[in-house]
Amino acid sequence: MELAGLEQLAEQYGGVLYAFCNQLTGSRQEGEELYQETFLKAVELHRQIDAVQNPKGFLVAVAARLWRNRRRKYAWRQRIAPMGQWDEQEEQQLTQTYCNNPEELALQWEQQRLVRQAVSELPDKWKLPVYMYYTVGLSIEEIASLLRIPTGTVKSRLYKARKVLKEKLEVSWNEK
Amino acid sequence: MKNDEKLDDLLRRSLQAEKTGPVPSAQIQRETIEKMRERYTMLSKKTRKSLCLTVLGAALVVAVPAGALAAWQLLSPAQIAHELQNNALEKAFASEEALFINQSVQSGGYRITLLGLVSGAVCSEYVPSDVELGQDRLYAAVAIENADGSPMPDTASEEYGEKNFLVTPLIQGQLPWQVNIFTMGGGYGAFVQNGIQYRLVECGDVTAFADRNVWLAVTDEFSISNGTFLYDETTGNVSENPDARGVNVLFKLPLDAADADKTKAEELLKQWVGDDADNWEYDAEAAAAHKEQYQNIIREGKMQEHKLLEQTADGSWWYFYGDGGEMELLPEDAQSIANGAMYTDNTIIMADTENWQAVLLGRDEQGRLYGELYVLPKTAQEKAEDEEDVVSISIGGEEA
Repeated sequence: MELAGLEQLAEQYGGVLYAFCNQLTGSRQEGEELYQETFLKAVELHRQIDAVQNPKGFLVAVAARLWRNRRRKYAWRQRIAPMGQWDEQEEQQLTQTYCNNPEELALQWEQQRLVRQAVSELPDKWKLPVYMYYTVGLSIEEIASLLRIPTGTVKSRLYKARKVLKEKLEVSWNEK
Repeated sequence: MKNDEKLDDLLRRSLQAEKTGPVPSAQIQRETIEKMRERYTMLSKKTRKSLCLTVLGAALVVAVPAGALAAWQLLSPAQIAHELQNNALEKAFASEEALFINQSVQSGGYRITLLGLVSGAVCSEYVPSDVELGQDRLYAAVAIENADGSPMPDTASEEYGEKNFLVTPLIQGQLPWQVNIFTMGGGYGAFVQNGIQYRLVECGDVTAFADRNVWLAVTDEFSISNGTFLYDETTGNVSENPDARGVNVLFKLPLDAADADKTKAEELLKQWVGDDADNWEYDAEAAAAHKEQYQNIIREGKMQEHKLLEQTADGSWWYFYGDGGEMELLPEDAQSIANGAMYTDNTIIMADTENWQAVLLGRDEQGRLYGELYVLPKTAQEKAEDEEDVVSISIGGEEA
């Protein structure tokens, strides 16, 4: 795939990949770094993308691998100085709204914020398939192929993640 | 709406990129594109410079004039390089220093021929002296034909992308799904002539591993998973998978053990696999233990229900079990289950605080798909271990 094709990929899948990178790193600044690194890596691997039938999945897999290899660096930086977390206004903009009622809107925003926080606290092995499945919209087979694990393992991890999330969210909602 | 569906819906609304974003700002997009252009330009220059070629396994060189290949109507590696406008590679393949294999294998309805190889190294004869030389690479020339003689789809046609072929080196002692052309950062060029697809594959230089078995593998799978080829944990050898439904071929490369370089091999592996590859590694022992546990639940547990599967409009089959549980069986997986047989690919284990649960899917003698839910009470020790796990997860620790 030549440069024009790569730029087209950035145009077409940039939004999905950006959201994935931000949610995976939990930080806007680190998400942006990972986003750019992913496309630079894609440039290096541009000849492989010709062979790939799922360029969106390919980009997500590259991002996941880069994040996995660099998460220790990110964790270190996070301990020193938490960086670029989304502020309240950005969080509210993230909320998919279904009504104009201010009270319900606030409830939705809070509910979805709790969900995102709960997901971000999952162990890496579960968090990755969750983001690939819900944020990017990849199928279980695609996730299995990109992460190079059996489909049964993907299903099992998603199942475990949902179970933990359900318990966590029920606790959070009961406390409020 | 079932509880699982409610949670599913909530997760989608909260996480789905198209609906929640965030979206990259115009500035970030602009910066990203500019950096991509810089990197692309840099790589283009590097590719033109890094045409470093030398001999592999001199003892096994078979210099075959291009004309001799006319018997199979196949292009020579030099001709392939010419078509792909790679002049230095063309010269190298045309020389006596290239290694010609000319080995053909039929698999999955295709005839795959490994035509020749050249390895990466400094080769001043083909590269100008003032040019900076790049990383060592291995180049393999491959031909792919339909076994029935019908023409392969042209690269410009829509049908071209419908069939995937993956050509990759595999190394003894390295998990195929961990060390392959993807992790080596390789690629290929391809074209179709006279109904035959030709590929020039570039990948990491594997001559450093010449003291062990190295193969060039060809599959029609999208990527190398732990079932694509068989891996022997004891010997580290890779073999073809006799149960593979499509293309599944291994060509053993005739490398000269004298070219092995253990230090370089270690460096390459670090580069390809990374420092913390453990978390991506397929744990065969854990997989076997998991399967045994699943089978134990089916064997020792009590069957709580037996239901027929329901089919949805997209052809998938669903088993709705217990209190809100659901399991999908894809159409192709359903088709693979014979009458009176069980579906063996599912080994999912579920659990609550008191019990283990496992689902068995199968097809009865009348050809109907069914699901059974088995329940096995947890032991006191298992319950105690569960409590430790919950504490670990809730404080953000790694999964126990």
